[in-house]
Amino acid sequence: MTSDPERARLDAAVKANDGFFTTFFVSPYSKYVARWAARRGLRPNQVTAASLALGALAAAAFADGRRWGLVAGALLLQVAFTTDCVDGQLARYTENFSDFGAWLDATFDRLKEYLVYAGLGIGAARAGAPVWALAGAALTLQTARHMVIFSWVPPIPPTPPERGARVGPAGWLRRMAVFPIGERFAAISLTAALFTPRTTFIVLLAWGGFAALWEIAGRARRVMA
Amino acid sequence: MIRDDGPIAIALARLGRGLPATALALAAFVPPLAAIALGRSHVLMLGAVVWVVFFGGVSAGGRRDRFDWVVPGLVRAGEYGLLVWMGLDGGFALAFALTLLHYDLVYRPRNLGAEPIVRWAGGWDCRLIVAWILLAIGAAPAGFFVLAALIALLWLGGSPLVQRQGDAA
Repeated sequence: MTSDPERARLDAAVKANDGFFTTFFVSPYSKYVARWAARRGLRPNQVTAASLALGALAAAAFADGRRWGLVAGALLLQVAFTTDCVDGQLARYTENFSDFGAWLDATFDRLKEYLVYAGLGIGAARAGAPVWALAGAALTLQTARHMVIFSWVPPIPPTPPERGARVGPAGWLRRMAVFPIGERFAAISLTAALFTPRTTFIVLLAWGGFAALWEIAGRARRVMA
Repeated sequence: MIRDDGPIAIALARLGRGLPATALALAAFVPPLAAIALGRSHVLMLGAVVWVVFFGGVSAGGRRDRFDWVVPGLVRAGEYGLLVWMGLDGGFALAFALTLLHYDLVYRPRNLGAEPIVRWAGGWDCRLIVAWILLAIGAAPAGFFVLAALIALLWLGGSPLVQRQGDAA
């Protein structure tokens, strides 16, 4: 039995402005994991560390390079991503925020993603089809995109979107266009499980390249307005 | 600006004074990435490194303009792109280790209000020259992996993961 204030508190623990994949495929159930973790007395930083450990396991499975390794890596990466959503929801649910927690969450997210790139690169090399140039290009593109985002100061400070404000199909498409972390991890899992690491890096480069152009064009338009 | 310039770039920066930073950075970091398509000879790589270090250094002194938020992304793309080109698996490892320092450059001041540790890593200019020398003397990819490990250790040793225990004690 869940009382209404309890439900509202749980819903409020979900980040308001998340991507499409995270909002529709992860948050609907990860918030219950967050509540379970809260009842067990787990702390957000422990969940963040668990997510990195799961990401490292995914990378190790990808590094096997055979089909079962790629499939296991894809599944583990999704578990790691769910766990990554749980830490923030747990922090909001239990109102347990810290500067160190924010640093840890951000840092481990990046580390996890690039460990997975490394695992896929090792797996491809062990399967006899090395893709280091593509893996390196994907890592370069993703880091360069982040550096542009970090360096951007909007000419007019943006107004934060209202919680519960309706987002139309065009709005969700715009959020997907910038290739947020949920979409990236879903793309990695799908392409690695079904195809090869080469396909994964080509998709990361194509979608990430489009996202980079989209982000730069949008910002350029705003400074010229 | 989160450029991570080293001593060579800082010395060259005066040449760029008054010129627009974004145009200079585009001219410095983009053409050598196109050279990647021409092959993998050491001479070509030396040419690309010299180009990036010289013009990239000059661009460090450029005048701020309204598009200069692309500059740190261009610096990263130039450095990592050439490292991966030169080192392949070793270059990937080196770029991976450097991401730790470059995200630290953003997250540490933002989340912890502390100075980043990247200034102990030589700057992108010196690292590119060291990488080319390692390649030229036949020390790649082992030398690239050693450099990557040293950078990862620098990050770990200076990170709050290690430093925080001191605070708590």
